[in-house]
Amino acid sequence: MDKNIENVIEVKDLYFSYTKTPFLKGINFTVNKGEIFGFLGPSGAGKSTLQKVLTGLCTNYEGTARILGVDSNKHGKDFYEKIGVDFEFPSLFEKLTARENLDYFASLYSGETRDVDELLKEVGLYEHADKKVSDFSKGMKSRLNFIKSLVHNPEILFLDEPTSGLDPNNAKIMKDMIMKEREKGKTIIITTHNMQDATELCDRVVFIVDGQMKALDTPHNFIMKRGAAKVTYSYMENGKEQSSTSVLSELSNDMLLKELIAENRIIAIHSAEPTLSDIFMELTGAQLD
Amino acid sequence: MRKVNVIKGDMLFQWKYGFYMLYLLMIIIYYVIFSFLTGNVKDTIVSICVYSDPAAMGMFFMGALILLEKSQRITNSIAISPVTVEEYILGKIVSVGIISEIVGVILMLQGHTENYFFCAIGIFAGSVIFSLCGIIVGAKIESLNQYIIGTLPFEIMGFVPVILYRIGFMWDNKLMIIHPGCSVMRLIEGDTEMAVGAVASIVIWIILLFWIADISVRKMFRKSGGVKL
Ligand SMILES: Nc1ncnc2c1ncn2[C@@H]1O[C@H](COP(=O)(O)OP(=O)(O)OP(=O)(O)O)[C@@H](O)[C@H]1O
Ligand SMILES: [Mg+2]
Repeated sequence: MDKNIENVIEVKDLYFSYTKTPFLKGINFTVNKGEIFGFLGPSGAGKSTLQKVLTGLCTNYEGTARILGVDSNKHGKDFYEKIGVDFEFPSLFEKLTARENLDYFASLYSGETRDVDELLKEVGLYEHADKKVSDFSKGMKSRLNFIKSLVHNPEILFLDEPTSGLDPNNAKIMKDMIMKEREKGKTIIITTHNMQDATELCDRVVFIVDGQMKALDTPHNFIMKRGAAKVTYSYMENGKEQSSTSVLSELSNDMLLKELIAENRIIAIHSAEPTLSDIFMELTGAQLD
Repeated sequence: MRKVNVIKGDMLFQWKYGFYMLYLLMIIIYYVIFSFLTGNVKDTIVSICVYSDPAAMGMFFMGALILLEKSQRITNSIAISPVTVEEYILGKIVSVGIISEIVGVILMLQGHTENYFFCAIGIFAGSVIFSLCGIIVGAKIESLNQYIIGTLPFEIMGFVPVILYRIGFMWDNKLMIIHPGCSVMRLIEGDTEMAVGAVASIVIWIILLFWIADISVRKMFRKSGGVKL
């Protein structure tokens, strides 16, 4: 593997299917070194499938899927020394303790591994290190699963919905850890349907619906290019509460609003930036979650 | 080093699931049964137990092991680790082979063999052969019921001819060593005369079964997704 490859991940005209009919259709993108790249899309869109293709678990694809210059269907043994995968479901030994799990997985790699205690401390599991995983809560398992993917200090991280099932506090801790990995120069692929996370974390996101790429850009550009701030107001009409929405930049054309202001009938008024979620719906016609 | 760590991991897993306790319990039960027997009958029964025990238990435990791993998605974790298919299989057959060897030798102390060295090889070989059969079936199935049905042909083919053979049926027919179980039985008996042929037969069978197991496990690694027990 070439150390100087800038395009850490390269996907070109990728087609993949579990059955006869194509499922992933014509996927194209590259991911640069040190980037956090997000796969966004509704349930069943093919995000995890795309991740499985990239991590070498689905090998009968057409087109190109290269990780660090290596085709993901023709990789050798050391392929997995350099990538870390956090599956969407826990994949841990239930009867072993957290520490036993991490020690075991760390022992499978030939390179230098990270300090297990340090990792446990970072995600707040140090006090539970000697508890069986079967006694862990869902969120504790997610956190352990996450640090398990870091244990061999991989160059590329594939995280499938890392923050799902976490309380806001722990989600924040995990997001901070993900940012820290990027600062170290790691490349990170995140799958999520949480737009908030995507906006906060990702340098770029790709929208995926029905196995197809719908759009690819930075969250900032999506919001700036597409979005227009909106004003929503509610008022009383015939004894009932009604509401209406206008685009902020065209507010002066809203005759109803003028009338309501003149008559002092406004009950509430809010302005809002579009979220990535709104833009996703606008661009893809699909609803998230 | 990774090979050793995979084996150690498998042994830790088996220990935590109480497999070793089950083996201990079995030894006690067998010893109680053996204490009621004497003479030739005892030797025959001990030999059959030494053959069938690592084999039967090895094959049954192998299914349980793989199903447990599948249900916890450990197989997914292994699939994205540097562990190769061969190392995975090796971990299973060596870890089960070691405990089978220990149990087999302890049982054999109650019986009779002409040659303890060949006997020890026979016990290990028997365990490896049945473990590989267990892996082949285990890699394909998703439930314990499927596993029991799937291994039934192997159990019948593995035990019936060999038990009959040990009792005396076709014992003098040298061609019987084509059956790997009969070869294993010859080694357990410590039959130095037929050892070379028996070992050759066993080696060929192990290579063949390892090859099939390799293909099955490779498929299993590709097929991700959880399984419920
Ligand atoms: N092993 C498999 N065999 C056959 N079909 C599968 C397999 N895994 C997933 N699929 C199908 O592929 C489609 C996409 O699944 P995938 O897991 O990639 O979606 P996703 O975008 O990750 O959804 P979610 O957000 O719910 O995780 C689904 O229709 C699913 O049923
Ligand atoms: Mg998914």
